[in-house]
Amino acid sequence: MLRALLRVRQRPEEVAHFVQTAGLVRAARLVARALGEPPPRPRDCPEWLVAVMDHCQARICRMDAEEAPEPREVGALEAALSFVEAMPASKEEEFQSLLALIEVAPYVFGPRRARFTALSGEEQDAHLQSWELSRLEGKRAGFRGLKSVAMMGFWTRPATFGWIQYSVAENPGVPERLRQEWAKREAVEREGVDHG
Amino acid sequence: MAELPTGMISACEGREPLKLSAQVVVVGLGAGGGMVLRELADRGVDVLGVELGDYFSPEDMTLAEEEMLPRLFLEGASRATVDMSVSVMQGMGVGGSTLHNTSLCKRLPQGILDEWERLGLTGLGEELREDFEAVEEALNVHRIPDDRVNRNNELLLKGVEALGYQGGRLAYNRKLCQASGFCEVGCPNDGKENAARALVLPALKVGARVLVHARVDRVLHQAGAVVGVRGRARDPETGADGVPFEIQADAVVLSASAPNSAALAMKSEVPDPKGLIGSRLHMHPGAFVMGVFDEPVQGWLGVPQSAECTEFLEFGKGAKRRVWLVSGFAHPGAAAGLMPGFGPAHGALMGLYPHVAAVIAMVHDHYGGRVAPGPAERVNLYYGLPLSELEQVALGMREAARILFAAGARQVILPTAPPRLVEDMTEAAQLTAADLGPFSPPLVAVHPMSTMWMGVDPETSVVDPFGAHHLLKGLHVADGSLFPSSIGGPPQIPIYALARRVARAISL
Repeated sequence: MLRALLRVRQRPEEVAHFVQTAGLVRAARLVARALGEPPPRPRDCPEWLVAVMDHCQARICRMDAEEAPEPREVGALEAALSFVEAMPASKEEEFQSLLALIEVAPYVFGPRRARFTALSGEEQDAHLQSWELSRLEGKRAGFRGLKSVAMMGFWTRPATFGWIQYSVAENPGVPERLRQEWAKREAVEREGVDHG
Repeated sequence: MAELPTGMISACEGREPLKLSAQVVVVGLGAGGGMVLRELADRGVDVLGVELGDYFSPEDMTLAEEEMLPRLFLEGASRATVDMSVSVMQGMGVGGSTLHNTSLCKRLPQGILDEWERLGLTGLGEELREDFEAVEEALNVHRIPDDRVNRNNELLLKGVEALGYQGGRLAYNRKLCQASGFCEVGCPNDGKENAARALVLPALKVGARVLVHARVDRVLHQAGAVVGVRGRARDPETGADGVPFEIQADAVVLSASAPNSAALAMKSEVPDPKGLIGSRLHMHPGAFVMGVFDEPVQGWLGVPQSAECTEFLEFGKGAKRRVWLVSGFAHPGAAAGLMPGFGPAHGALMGLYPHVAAVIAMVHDHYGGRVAPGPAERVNLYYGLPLSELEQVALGMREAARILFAAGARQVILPTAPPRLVEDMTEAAQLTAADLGPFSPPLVAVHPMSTMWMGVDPETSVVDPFGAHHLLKGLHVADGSLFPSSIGGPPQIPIYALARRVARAISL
């Protein structure tokens, strides 16, 4: 790692970038080893990291209203993970590495010394907020990436469309063939939530 | 995946390394590359276009954001500056960014042309006007009709008119548009006269060839002249590397976008004694400001962008106000990422989505960042906004709020961290550059440019006024890299026009 760091030309922003990419991946490998878990694996996300994403998404996309769709009920996790899988493998590895660091960050940043997935919902919120509003740019960057992926997975589920009065099927500019396909999707997913 | 048209092959088809030759290789088939391909093919030149992404037919456009964004945008729609504070959305595929843009058309403003003339650039008068006219005719550019201005854009126009600001309706290049509003995730109606439809397909009919799913890793050169390119197939499903390919050519045209063309030139060790390539990166960073209205806005219905405000857009070195205000819209997946906060507070804001009109405050940036190659098609974009540019962001956000209030918004969301939900202009007017910084607000850039700019002096520019590299014979540039400065507006028409003159100047 030191040799790689020295290879980077000595501009501060390049060093910072190195820490945010290669440094992040290496740190995540160390974390995985320390926890006895498999390391980040592009195109085949290890279960423990899937669980971190699931917990993060559940809190980030949570709504209070009783009738609101729940991320875990609408397939948001699968959509988020497949969105990440479409990125270049090196980017996906960085994203999984971010999840690994989120999992162990409470040991350093609180609110109590435990894995992120072992915290209560309220504690997870506090922890995520500490990333969102951190003085450390790297943590804010991490939160922005995490939030974008979580939201992309959730708010693209047709089961959420009713909440925002959005519909592809009812859009008159969409070709009839697609409107019919989307009408089925929107109906099935709405049904799934109603009876979920 | 669409069946490829005659003349187009996939680099992933075979298992053996691919060896090809052509007189001219065009790297990247967006606005610039498409234009060069078409112009050269029309002249009977043996021209081969190489494209990293897919070829899309209208039937490929599923309208599912989470599926289409990674296919239509570089790096799976995750490209950003290295500090992640600016998302950089750039197209990929035959047609490049014209596949997902909202087809806005503007010529280079006179203020920019004057600035470039002062830098010594020639041929920007009558000659360039002819290129603009030819491009506009070929692409069916026309003023956006009244009945295509949706409620989101009407509100911007209403605010602009109420304040007496300069602004109005824009022009676009569409023919078969059905106003589905899905421009940014791939038009299902083939409604745009994009580079694929208007240039690449006609070029194939007159003998051009295209290789898709192919990433150029190096421009080959020896003894001061280019001799071809080499690279690798890229699996469109997994992004995995495939077989190598090599193409011999007498000339190479870089049109892979400002970041990727510059990164490729750097990786290829193109002569650059002054270290200019990749520097001076401009990108029009923009902040979304959202107004909440009592009436439904439903920005997803109809043409997403058709109106602008130019009141605060000045050109020239000493310009004090450098903000282009234009309507903004995103489908729910992307919109949710831009809406501030998370959890129930964010969910409540998303509940307002049908009542939200948005204005993007886009900065005509004087600050220049830089580009460095990353692994494969990844590019490292170093771009940290200094205070002078943050002041422009703050100006743009304040004025966007003023326009939205003037249009009748009951509340405006300023997506700072933490977010400000303001009820009147007194509160919004308090926003200053001191309140802003990385991630506050989240910025989005869709116009990276100026990484291999034109000029007459090899000491201070990378290519000549017609896109030919000053030092490496046979290397040409035909994309947004060419701009010597940020342009303060949509770049597609200037790219098409400059690429046309680059093509005309290529002699074999």
